[in-house]
Amino acid sequence: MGDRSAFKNFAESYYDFAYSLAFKVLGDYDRSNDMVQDSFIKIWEKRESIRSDGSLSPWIRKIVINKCYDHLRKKKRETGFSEDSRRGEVENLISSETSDGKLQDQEYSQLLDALTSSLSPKQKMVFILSEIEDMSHDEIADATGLTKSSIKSNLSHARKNLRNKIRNYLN
Amino acid sequence: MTKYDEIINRLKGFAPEIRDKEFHIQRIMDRTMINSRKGNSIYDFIFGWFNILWLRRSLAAASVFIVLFFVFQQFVIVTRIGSLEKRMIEINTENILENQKENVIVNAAMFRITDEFNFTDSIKVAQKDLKSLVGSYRDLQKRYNELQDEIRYQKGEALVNPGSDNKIKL
Repeated sequence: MGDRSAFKNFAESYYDFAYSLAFKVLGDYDRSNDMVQDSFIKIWEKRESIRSDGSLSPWIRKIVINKCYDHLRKKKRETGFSEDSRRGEVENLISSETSDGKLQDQEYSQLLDALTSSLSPKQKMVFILSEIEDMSHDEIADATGLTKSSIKSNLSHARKNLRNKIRNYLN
Repeated sequence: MTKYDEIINRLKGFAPEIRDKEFHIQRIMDRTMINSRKGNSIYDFIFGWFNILWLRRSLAAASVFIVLFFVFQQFVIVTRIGSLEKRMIEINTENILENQKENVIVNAAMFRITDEFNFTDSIKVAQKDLKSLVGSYRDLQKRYNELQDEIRYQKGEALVNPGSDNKIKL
């Protein structure tokens, strides 16, 4: 891993995976790229401690999740979540019957923002990792450092909140 | 399937479009280059030890020990100061008592003087003036003794126990 060209190959291999995860959490192109860059820089700095015997995906996932989580917390502190200003578009997305139609980046961002804007960073993180990324509670606990009971309670709260939001949008 | 599940499925099935991958990877590589250069800076030369885990832990342990030692020392110092203050109070009390003793003598002398003056009428004398009078009296007594010693010396008498039993007769 000490070689820069090897690191470039590594970055090329895992960039899609890292960016996809970051975007699913943050829903923003620029911020997601920033988080991915920071994650890879961290990996570069810690390259001496990387063990080549196992898969690197869980390790990268953990780093990206932590970077995104830090960003969410910072964002919450600095600005707070913005209110949904495009209610009409979100309503259309939610009430749309074409459930098999793939979402575009912008649509995903709008939907994610609308549904999770009132959640705390922790709830949002747990919700995305569990519901969207299909991660188990053990994996979330390992990646975020949260306890299982905390994950369960945050997820339960997030689900309840989202169901209410969806109901409100549909009404 | 509820609306919630439907929306979750749509979110789950989403895959973001990867754009400008080469550009972003190049930026990462540029940053690793800057990072590598930074690694050779004087800052890293001075503070590079921070990255050595065992050294960092040892210094952290040492700092905890130093803090504990400092607290212990403070405790000892405070205890000793307390003890010294107590002793000073005791010594001061003794001094006060000693001074009082001297004052008693002075007062007795004053009364003796005033008695010897044999004031027939009752007069009021300020304590300050009285103390000044006693001071003058003692000074005069001292000079008188010295003069007596001088006279004895002039007469060739041995200077044994100078100033004893010589009192000015008022």
